[in-house]
Amino acid sequence: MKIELTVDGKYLALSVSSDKPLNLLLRDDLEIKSIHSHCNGRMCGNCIVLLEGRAVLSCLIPSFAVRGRTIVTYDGFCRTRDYRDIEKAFAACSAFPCDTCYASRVLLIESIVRRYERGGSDIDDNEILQESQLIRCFCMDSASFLAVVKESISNRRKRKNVRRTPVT
Amino acid sequence: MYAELRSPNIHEPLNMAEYNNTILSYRDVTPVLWAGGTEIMSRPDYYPSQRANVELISLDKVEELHHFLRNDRFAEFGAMVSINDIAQAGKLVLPRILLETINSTACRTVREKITIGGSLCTKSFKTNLASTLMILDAAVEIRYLKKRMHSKWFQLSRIYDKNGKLEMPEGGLLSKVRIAIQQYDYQYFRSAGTPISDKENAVALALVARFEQGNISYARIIFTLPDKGFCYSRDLDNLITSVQLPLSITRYATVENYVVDYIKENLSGISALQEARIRGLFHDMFRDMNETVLCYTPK
Repeated sequence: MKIELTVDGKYLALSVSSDKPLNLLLRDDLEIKSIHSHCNGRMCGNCIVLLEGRAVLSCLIPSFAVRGRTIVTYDGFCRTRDYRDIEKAFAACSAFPCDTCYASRVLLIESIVRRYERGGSDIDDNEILQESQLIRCFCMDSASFLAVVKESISNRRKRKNVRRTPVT
Repeated sequence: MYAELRSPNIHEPLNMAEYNNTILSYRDVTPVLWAGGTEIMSRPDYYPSQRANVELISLDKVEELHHFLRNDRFAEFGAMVSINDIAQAGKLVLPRILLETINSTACRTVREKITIGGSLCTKSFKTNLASTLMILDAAVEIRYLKKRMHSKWFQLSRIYDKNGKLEMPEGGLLSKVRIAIQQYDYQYFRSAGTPISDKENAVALALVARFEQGNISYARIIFTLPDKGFCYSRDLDNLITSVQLPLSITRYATVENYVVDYIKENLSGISALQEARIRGLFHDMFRDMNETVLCYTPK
């Protein structure tokens, strides 16, 4: 099956099996290095990518569902200014996740930051704590994850000069 | 390794008329219906698979399946509405127990992918959402092919057999779900374990009840064991309705043993952890119910 999609800003036309999971397509066909593993949909959380700006587990997305859509992986995202907000937040909170889950954590945080940036609603701690359990890696606890998310939102709002209620 | 496999043919109908045409063109084969894909893709043999040479109908673009409407009596959701959207749209009107079930299903990132139709039609495990909708008397619209396409409304409990096995008509499509808008005096939902990754040990308990002068006048209870099925019967409902609250410890032990024996009788092969979890959830529920009744003030 022929699919056309945009990965990290590059427009690609590929011929792949229509039901191939997106993480295998990115890892095997496009050789994206930040996708480490294939857990067969067991939700290990280490294959997160941004699909149209929202975090998704790429092992749960079939190839036919990404036709004509835009995907951002960590390899592409780490070259953007948005990444700096999250990188600074990790340093500010002294949280240093392991290499296996770092890429997924960054993209998950970016998705949460965008959600609050778009909606402008109050930060729901419980929702973020629940999101932190998506990545099944024990190198970082939920409280640190929450702190990093809040710091990232604050950094983003400061950089974009958004006047909203301060993050508590 | 994958050379002999043919890529499945994907059909992406844009509306129900196109869907009907697609189904009618493939009368001899039973196409695979694809909703969110969360359950199908989490099967260990999903890819590469020998049974990949199939016709696959993706429902993602069928417009009618994304609609939802609401009036004073009920809310009606298309099968492709994500459970996260249901929780957001129905925050103020839907029964609290349903919102609790949705919020406990997974984190928001995964919930955005799970559709209500897909979660009711899973084959490899039973979801907590299906059991909660059953005690809320939800109804579903099924479209099926019999010379031509027919559609019919069923009570949700009628599309499962007594042990929770899905019994839809061959090639049937669950297109809409209707949920009555009503609140209960007492609603309780708790789950232990996750149905997707640990279905052998997960358990959930849901109960709705109405009180009359401090006594239970109406109750519906359901246990979900994702790998085995649902335990849902009039006997258990009547047992809960017959108890006098607050329940003493001795009477509680009798009720608990009766319930656990009943579940074991109906669903075989319950693991020790599942049994411990059933007892724990049931105990918590009665403690909570006792508290509620002692503090209950009629409207």
